[in-house]
Amino acid sequence: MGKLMAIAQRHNIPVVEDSCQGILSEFAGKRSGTHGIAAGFSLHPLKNLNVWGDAGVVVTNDDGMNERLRLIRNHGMKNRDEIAILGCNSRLDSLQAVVGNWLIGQTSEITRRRIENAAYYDAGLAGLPGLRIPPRRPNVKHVYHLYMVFAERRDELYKYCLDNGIEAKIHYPIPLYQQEGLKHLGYAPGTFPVTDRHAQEVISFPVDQHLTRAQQDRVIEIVRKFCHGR
Amino acid sequence: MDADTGRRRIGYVNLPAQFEEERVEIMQAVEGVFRRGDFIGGAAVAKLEEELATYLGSPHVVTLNSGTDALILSLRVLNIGPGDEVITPPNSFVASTAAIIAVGATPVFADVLPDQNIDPAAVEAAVTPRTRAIMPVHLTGRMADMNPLMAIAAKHALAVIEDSAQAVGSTYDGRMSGTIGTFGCFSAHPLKNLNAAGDAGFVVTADAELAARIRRLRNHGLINRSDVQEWGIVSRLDTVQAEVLRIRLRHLPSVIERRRRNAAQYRAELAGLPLFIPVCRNIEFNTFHTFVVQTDRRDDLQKYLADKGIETAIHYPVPIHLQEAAAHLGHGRGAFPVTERQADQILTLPINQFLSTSDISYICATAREYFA
Repeated sequence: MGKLMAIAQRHNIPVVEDSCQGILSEFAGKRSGTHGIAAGFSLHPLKNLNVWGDAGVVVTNDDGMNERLRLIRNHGMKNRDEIAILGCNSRLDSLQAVVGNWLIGQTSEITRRRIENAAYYDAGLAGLPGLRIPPRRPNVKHVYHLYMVFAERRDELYKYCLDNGIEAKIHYPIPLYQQEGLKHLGYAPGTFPVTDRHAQEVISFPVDQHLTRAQQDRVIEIVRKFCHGR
Repeated sequence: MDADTGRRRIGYVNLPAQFEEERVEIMQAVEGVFRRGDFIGGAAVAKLEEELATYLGSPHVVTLNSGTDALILSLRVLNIGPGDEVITPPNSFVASTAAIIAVGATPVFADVLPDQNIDPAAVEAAVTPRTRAIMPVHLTGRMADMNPLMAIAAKHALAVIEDSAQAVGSTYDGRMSGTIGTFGCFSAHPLKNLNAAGDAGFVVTADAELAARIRRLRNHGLINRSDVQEWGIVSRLDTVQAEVLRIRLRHLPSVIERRRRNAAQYRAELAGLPLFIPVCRNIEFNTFHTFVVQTDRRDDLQKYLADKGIETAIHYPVPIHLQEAAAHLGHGRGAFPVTERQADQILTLPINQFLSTSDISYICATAREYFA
């Protein structure tokens, strides 16, 4: 974020952070979602802070934006009868707010356990042939919405995990710019080589706060077996 | 009764009473969702869609986050956008007009009839070469005059998007609300006759392809876990809400029956007072999302009722064309005289299914007292 904010400032471009997977994560001691003018958070059931259905939050340090967003989420209504701007219907249900309020106090602990689980994986999976753990930078607090590594023979490893009862996932196998829905932007295959390589190599292992050490040991054992030629 | 004052108090809605009737069913269903953890796209969502399709007699039902999204996505899959015009009444809740604006098209207003629904003659007069669709709103749970509207649509090759947000279960000439036009858009907002525990909605159509496209658009345009075919939004009905709606759909006929009984009692006991209450024609089966009376002394009557503990509402006091947000459309006061006159005369009396005969008698007697 340091470099990105510098670019934004130089060109006077607002930064809107997509913090959907990054609640309580930090860069240089500053929380995700508080670097730019605004940030979007998701509270989808699979997120670290999750509610019982689709839900999200936007944070901003801009008063005008705050007021405008509040209007827009409720049809642009200033009060029951008057519409200031035409908006949409994107209100968080009270029911979901109750869940969120109850969980928000637990999010630090959830985060701590995920970080602990990730560190355990990092140690257990270190130095395996054909497997690379992404760099852990000291000025980044990673909250492990996902625990992801790079594998040379990813598709085979993925299948091996599933065959052995481990629910691994791929986040995400097809880069956005190669989606049919983005054809009109005209990007040729290979335009983003790092993204392309990652799409071929990423694999995510379960890292949630309810995971036991025994379950993690099982994941490590299976991955080790695979990397050492089974 | 009001606990503090001991005075009679009749609220406009009574959601806690609804919960008391269904507590066990709801809590079991919600717990089931938790045990399974299928919060998004659970089996209950598809089941609800099938049950709604059966209830409405329409082949395709797609559940969404809101009735507003149902309107927006219907317009979107009809490829209605900039340069296109959609004819709609100016006396609705803002969502219908907002949906047209949201896709970049131009709302063209047509004034309404004494029964508050869009006037087919005004629709015919508003058609231009740029008109793509008519969006009638079945206000108060009474369906708009669909036969002439469908004839106009056929004559000019226009799509018809029914805003059925207030009219689930209503019929017109034997046909269910939402199943006559290209699309029927429904809201299941907590204050609707069929209500979720939060924002919710659905769209119905007989067109399989259009339904499939809305299904994709509601889920980011994804055709499976990884492939995005076109750009969509997130507008999925939560599984929890689907479970709540499945239970309440089973209760809907009884809700409608009780509201119709309340309406009949109002009609009988308000007879002879200087209140205009639109007649229910033989071809209409009205479900009374709201029960609206019209009077020149509206504000005064509302205050009198409030002083006697009766909560009423106004749907809606400021017509859409006179809203600040609609200034760019350039309509001044006087543009839609029927709508504007009604905005000053309409008053919505409580009609929810939990009112007793004695509650309604009290309201009618109080109104009679006012006019005496």
